[in-house]
Amino acid sequence: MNKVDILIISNQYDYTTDYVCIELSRRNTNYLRLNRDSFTNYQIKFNVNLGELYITCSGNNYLIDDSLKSVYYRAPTHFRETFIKKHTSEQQLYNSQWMSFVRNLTFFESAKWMNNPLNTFKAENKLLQLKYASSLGFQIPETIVANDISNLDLKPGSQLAVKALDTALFTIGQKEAFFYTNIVESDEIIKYNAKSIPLVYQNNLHPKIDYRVTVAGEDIYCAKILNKGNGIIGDWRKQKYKLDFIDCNLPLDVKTKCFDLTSKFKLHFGGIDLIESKDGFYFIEINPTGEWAWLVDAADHKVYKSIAGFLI
Amino acid sequence: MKKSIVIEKAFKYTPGTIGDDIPNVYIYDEVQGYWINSKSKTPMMFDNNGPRPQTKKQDVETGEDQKGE
Repeated sequence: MNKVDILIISNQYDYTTDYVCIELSRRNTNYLRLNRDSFTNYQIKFNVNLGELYITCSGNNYLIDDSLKSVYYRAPTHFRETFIKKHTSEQQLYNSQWMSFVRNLTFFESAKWMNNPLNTFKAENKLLQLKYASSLGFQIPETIVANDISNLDLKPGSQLAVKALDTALFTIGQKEAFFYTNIVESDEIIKYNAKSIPLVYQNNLHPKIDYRVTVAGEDIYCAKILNKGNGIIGDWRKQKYKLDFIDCNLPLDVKTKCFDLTSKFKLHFGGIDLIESKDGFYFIEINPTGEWAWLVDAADHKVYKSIAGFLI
Repeated sequence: MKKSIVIEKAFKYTPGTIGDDIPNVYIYDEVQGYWINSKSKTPMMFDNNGPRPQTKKQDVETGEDQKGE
């Protein structure tokens, strides 16, 4: 029976998790990766009265109990039903019931979680993020959430950053669709039906430099995002392969605020988007389950070492 | 009738199949918890020919909190 010290909850095709497991293996730790898309390959028995979870995987037997040290949680907290109609009855049940099982692993309360899904759930609320960031001294963009643009007091010729309040992933015919932040002229906004859903409207910070900050345990990494040496107009994620991610240092007070915000949400990991504009740094958002794997090569950010260090 | 800006300005793409980018030489090692080159045993993430994330989303716009959903 292998006693598990570190539990990893992910899925088989999440290469980001590979980096962490490779590092944990290199450090000779007792870890187990459970993949949410592979549960039917495992035999699982959870004796709730004893607090003992038995898992058989590839012929190996594992035991998880209250001596579990830490959990790396790479799974969603919001189960979005966007594509549910595509799923068979079996898939729907698989998703809902195994997701509940995964959430119920918060049973192991004394373990360190990166991140605890209960805290992630709270931290994924963009408006609360802005409130907390502002209270910690960050500048934040002027932000209005509305489904009635007549209340926006739009100035002719002004530009707004328009964002979805939550991840907007949906289908259009046979295609999938994703709504990035869009910079829109005030005259253009009135062409659309804004009443159907609430949208986030922010003043367009321009010119700007985008920064991606990754807080992992006690470490912090920062990458400046440029295209041929220049800042990006609009949402940098749209430009994909054209971007340079340049490792850099943040001013100490900005770094401290990033750690403070992560702590305020009781997170141990956060991907934070910042903008440097004419009058300093602005907080844009924090992603409690943010991506970082592309930064390993792009900015030489060995985030997996920090994550492993936290988990051990 | 006016349409939502979210629908009109959305980035549209044809969804791929998960795992399509992994060459056949790589297998998933359940015990180690990562993909390896079946010949050299090198972890895929540190193998010169292995697919590694080069962009934030690898063209799959799942949102940052929907890992593999």
